[in-house]
Amino acid sequence: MPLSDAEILKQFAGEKTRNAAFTHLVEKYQQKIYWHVRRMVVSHDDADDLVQEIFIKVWNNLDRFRQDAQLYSWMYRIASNECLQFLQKKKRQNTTSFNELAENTADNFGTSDGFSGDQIQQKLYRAIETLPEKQKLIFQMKYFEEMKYEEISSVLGTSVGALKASFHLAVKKIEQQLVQHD
Amino acid sequence: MTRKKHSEDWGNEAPRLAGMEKINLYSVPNGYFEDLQSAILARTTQAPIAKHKVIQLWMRYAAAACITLVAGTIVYLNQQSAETPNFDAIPDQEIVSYLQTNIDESDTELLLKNTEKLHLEEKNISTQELENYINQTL
Repeated sequence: MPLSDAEILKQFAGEKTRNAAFTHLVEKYQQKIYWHVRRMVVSHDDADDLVQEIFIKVWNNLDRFRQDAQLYSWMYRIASNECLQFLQKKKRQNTTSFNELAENTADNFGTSDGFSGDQIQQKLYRAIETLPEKQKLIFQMKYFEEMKYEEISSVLGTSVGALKASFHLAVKKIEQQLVQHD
Repeated sequence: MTRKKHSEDWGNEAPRLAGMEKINLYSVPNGYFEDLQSAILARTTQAPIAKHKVIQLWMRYAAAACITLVAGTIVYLNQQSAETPNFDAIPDQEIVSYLQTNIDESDTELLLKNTEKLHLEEKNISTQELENYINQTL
């Protein structure tokens, strides 16, 4: 049975139980964090690298974590920032425009290893890839991870109103592309 | 899972998206999450603890003294090089000899461009006179 976040934090504070507590934390959150990252960066190898870096940051900073926030919100914030930084860096390193890059990434759906699904699903994933990074992040958290606006707000530090506006805009863009591609 | 439950607030705007099932198109290699956990733990709980180097107090003072000495020397040398040389102490003939052997045409042009700074009008020397003098002398 997985430990509660409070129990993990309590055990992490003890020198003798620290490692066991962190192992519990990794077991509990690694898949959620992986899928959160994978949906953002698409490539499995990139997601693998980023998830390891994220957990190393968690390990190095967990003793400074202030418990006025929820543990998963804090970890999601680290993960989201890592993803956004990674995508920004990737954009800077590429001479092609980000739209082209997104389209190239989107074109890989259904043709590369690690992707599957029928045509309409592939259209959805292609449409998501054309969203700006932050909007894509908000869409993923709301649509796939089914997080409440208040939870997303605590992760991203964006107001609920702004999140709602961004999500609705993303939904409209995606719907437009789904209909266009019929 | 159908979208109806989660699309109450936007389903009307995007009926196509609202009608779709949520499917994860991505996949991972078999046993990936066991490997991921091992990789993370190897770099965290099982990683050798980095020993912080203990810096003795005397070493700190020595380092501070070195920095002060180097900074002081740099400031002193800069002041020395910035000081205006005392031309009055140099004999005129020596200056003339130096100019004759070291000044070329480009320097002459440069000198002429800067004659305004010499306030020649106050000394009743025209630029033309000065140019003639330089051409004849140098």
